[in-house]
Amino acid sequence: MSVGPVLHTHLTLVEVAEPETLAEIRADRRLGPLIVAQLSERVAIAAPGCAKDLVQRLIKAGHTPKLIER
Amino acid sequence: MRLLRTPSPVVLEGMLPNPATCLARLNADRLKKIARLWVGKDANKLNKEGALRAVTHGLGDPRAIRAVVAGLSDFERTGLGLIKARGGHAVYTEELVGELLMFDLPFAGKEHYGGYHDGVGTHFGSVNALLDTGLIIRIDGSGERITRYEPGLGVYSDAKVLAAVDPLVPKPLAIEPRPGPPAGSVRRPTEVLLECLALARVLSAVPPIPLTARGLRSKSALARIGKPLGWKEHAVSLRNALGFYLSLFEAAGLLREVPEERCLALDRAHAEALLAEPYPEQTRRWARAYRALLGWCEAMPLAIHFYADPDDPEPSTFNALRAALLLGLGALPETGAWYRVEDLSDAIFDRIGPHVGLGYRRHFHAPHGATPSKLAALRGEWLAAERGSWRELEGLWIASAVAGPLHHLGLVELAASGQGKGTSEVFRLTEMGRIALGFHRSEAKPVEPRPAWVVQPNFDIVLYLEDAAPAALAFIDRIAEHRQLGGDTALYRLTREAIYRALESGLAAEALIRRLGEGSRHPLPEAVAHTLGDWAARRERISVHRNARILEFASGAVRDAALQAAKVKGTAVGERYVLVQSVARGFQIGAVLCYEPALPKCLCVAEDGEIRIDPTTRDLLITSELAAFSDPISGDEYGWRMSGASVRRAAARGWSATEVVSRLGGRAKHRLPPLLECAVRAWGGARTAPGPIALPTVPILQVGDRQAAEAIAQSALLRPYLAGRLGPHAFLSAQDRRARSTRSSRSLASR
Repeated sequence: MSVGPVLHTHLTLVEVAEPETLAEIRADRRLGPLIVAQLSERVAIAAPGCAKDLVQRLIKAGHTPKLIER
Repeated sequence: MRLLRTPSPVVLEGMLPNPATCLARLNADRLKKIARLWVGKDANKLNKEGALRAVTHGLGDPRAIRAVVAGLSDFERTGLGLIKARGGHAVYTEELVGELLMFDLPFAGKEHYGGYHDGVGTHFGSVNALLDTGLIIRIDGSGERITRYEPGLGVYSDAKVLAAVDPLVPKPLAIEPRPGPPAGSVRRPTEVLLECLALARVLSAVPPIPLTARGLRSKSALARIGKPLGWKEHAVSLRNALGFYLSLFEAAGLLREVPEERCLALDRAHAEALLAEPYPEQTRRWARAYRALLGWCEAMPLAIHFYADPDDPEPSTFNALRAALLLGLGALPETGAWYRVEDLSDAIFDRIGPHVGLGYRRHFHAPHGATPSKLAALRGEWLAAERGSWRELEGLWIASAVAGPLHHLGLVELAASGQGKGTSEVFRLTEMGRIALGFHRSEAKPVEPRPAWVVQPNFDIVLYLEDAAPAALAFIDRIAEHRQLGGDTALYRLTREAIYRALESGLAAEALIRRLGEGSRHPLPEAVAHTLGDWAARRERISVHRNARILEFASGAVRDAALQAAKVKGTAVGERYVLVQSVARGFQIGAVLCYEPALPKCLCVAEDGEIRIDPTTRDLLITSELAAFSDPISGDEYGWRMSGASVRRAAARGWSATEVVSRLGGRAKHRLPPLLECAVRAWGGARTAPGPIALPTVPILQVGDRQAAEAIAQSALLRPYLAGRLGPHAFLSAQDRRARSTRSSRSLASR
């Protein structure tokens, strides 16, 4: 077994200011399928490799997401 | 990697070969001639290696270089000066041909023409004369002379040699000023900049331009770029305006080939920097880029079609003529006077006409035994015929170049002179044209930055072009949508989308609002400032992190302790995660799981549908993935089971059987059991396998579907119930277990 914490890399995360926004995104039929796991009420994991697609769909849905590149 | 398109001069600068390597390719005779420049007649006694050593040693000694340059002819110093004036070390061969001949200086071989089979001719004679000095070198590294069959892309010179040269000025053209109107048609630098900004904006928004196997731009991509620009030929008075601007951007190094992806991509940082430079500097850059333009031409008279392909992105005679034309404009006797375009064409013919032409150039052949007077008369006839041909072909091209790109880039002002049948087109250099093309470095009067726009309460911005510095114009174009251009103003509108794009491009919200207010002639309307702040704040509501790193701790307490001890810097997420900014050196990490390009493989899948997660490689997505098409085994943290019911549930939510198999297969550490694959397809409704099943008196299991039969044959689960295989579709069932065998097989077929 591992002796320390596990580092998960190359993830696409969605972070929202209010939990309701994440619920709204998950409920949207164009955006929901891209969200594959939730870490907290404000942070979710998107399907790998779909960051640009997600941003475009968010913009299309009327949001103005901030893209943060690591 | 091989480039599909000819590199622009900017790109060429990074591809120059080592001079010593190129010189080593020359034969001993040519090297000795070059060595004579450096060591005098002693060079005759040297062998090839000795001559090479003498030249390379000389090229490394600044004093020797100065002495050699001082001893060069005006022609040779002109050649080097022309390369230096570009600000780099390299030049397309064709450009240098046009410019050298425009200086009208004598050089060895200028009048030599060796007949029809002469591959050198007089076109490249000037560059070959310079190559013979060894002070310029072919970019392709070849030691051969340039011929019309193998023209060679370009030449370059050593930086130390260029540093010792002072560029020379050509003698003024023999051309008379003409009366002209007080003012003609002129395009202001702001208009040119607005078009460049529009193109840069569209190129930033669309994917890079794919290239065909021939290296041409994809037509569908051009249509995608052209549509939002909406440039019509009559509106911009330029043939194929989009093609022109794309070639111009490429020649200026703003649009670059990405060889790995076979496409042309905008160099955004370079484009932003260039488009914010003062107008004189921008005009200079566009003039240089125009000279090196490839894959576009001003006009294509029918007679040229036979000799040139305007789409071919290779340097051609068009580049030689453009270089000659720009140099000719810089050598006008009075820079502020009006001139006839026809006179300019004739003056250029006088300098380069007998050597350079778009079509077939007829050379003068002196008849054997002709008297000097007869020879002069024959030469005069030949020259008159050549001039006539020049006016019909090259003259037409020059007129198109002056009225097209040169006017469009704001280098010349156009007008009509005379009345009735005597009307002719006249031109004169604009202030920007004089600065960009003149040989004496001059600058426009520095303009004090002044407030250049007014922001209306309805979010419109009225931009006053006269007062707008390039940086101000680029700023407004970045944060607002262009609506209209009329007279001295341009109309923009602040929209949520434009503000969002500006913020995404790296502009800070506070800086945006502050600069918008500072550049405005009136205070920013409060409602506008408030709305801009609101739009900017909206962007903070959702963040998409790309390539993010998450640390997963065993518990919240361990996580909090690591954060408190500053072993990990980042944001706490949920109960036991951290969105990592950085990790302290020495901090021990148990395992690293990478999610791209493929998700970790962490599952073991059994034939009966049981799925086990490997705890050492369990990732953050696996449970939610499994939940889509399987059920957790109660009391077992790492155990899941797939069944007909769970797959049918997934199918009801839109999953196809193929998707389930593919997702599961991608995450399994081994190949999925074929029987389970078959079962999932059957459960998911993808096929009706295994087809009709019957157990007759003789216990035989018959399977209609070949794939299902193979799966049964390989199945460890069914092996105990089968006594043997009778053929591709039939199995002999074990007598005492046939009821159970049929039941198991039917479960595969159940839907």
